[in-house]
Amino acid sequence: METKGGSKLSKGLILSIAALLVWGSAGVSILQFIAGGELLGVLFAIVAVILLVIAVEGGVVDRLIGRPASRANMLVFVAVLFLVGINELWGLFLIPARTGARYPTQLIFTVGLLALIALTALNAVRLPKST
Amino acid sequence: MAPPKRSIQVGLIALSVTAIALCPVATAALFTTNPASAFQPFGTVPPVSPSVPTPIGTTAPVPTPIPTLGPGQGFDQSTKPAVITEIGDDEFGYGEIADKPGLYLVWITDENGTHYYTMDGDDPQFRGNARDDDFADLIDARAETVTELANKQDEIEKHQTQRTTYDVVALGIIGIGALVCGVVTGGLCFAPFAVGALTAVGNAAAQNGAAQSLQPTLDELQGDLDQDEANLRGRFGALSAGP
Repeated sequence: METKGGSKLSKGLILSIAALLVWGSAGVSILQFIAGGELLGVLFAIVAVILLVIAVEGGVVDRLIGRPASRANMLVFVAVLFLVGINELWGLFLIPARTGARYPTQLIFTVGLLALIALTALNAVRLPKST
Repeated sequence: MAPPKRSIQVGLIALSVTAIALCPVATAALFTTNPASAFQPFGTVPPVSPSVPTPIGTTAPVPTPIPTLGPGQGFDQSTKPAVITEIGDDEFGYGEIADKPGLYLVWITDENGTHYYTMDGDDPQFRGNARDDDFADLIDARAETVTELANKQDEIEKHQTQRTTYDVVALGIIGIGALVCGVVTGGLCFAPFAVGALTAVGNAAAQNGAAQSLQPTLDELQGDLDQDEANLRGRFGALSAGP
């Protein structure tokens, strides 16, 4: 079913969303382990592995390429990405003790997440138009 | 050539041993034909101008003093004595010295490093009920502040972890929504996904707000810690300056 005046999902967008979710889940898993939340740590690690397997296998990605995507939905999608990016950037300045394992982990995670958010947002606003 | 017989070998070894043993005896007569002798009999020559007030051997030797561990001695990291108990931490603390019951080592840290000093356990400036700002009291106060500070930092870090978790959940909801809704309902189901994602982002922002609200308390505790450490340095200075 095509969305009138909409766009099509591109391979770049699908892969960048997959990378964002794999990176995010793996990072949260590590941070949860550092904070002592083993259960959530394991859950997010499992999510990261499943998403990674799906992305690498490629079957689902191939089926999604070219599917319709509404421009309005993509704008909301980018807005949520923007809010998450602002949240993470704000949180980076609130870390009290810049020592120990948490700070470098959080720093690497946040920088990576922000880069992937920017890439995903860029792919979302550059979707090819549906014909 | 046939190897020599074993009896000949034994004989030769016995001959060599005997020769070595008897050689000094055999040659002794040769070297004593002209024995050395002094032209004059040996005697003690008295000093021309004796400068030694007392003859050697008339006074008892003074032993080199061996330093003993006692109150009022300063040390550094490399020379400090070992302690069997430790109150405080590596920067500020005290402990009883091994094999010296009642003698304590106290230490503080400043910009020049850690300084150590020995104290009598009964000294009122060190501990006891005579005053409420003795060294041990100040160490207790600092330990309490350090614990409070660590607890607040842990609390902030928990908010940080929860914020990141909510943010990633929001990304998951919106990411899956963006990919799946287009396939299943042509984008119509995207709205509930967006609401869910925005709720998660709101929760994440609330965690940031909670962490930020703890910042003034953290700053206050850091100020208290600085004051506690300044007090300890002052007390240490008074201890090492003596009564």
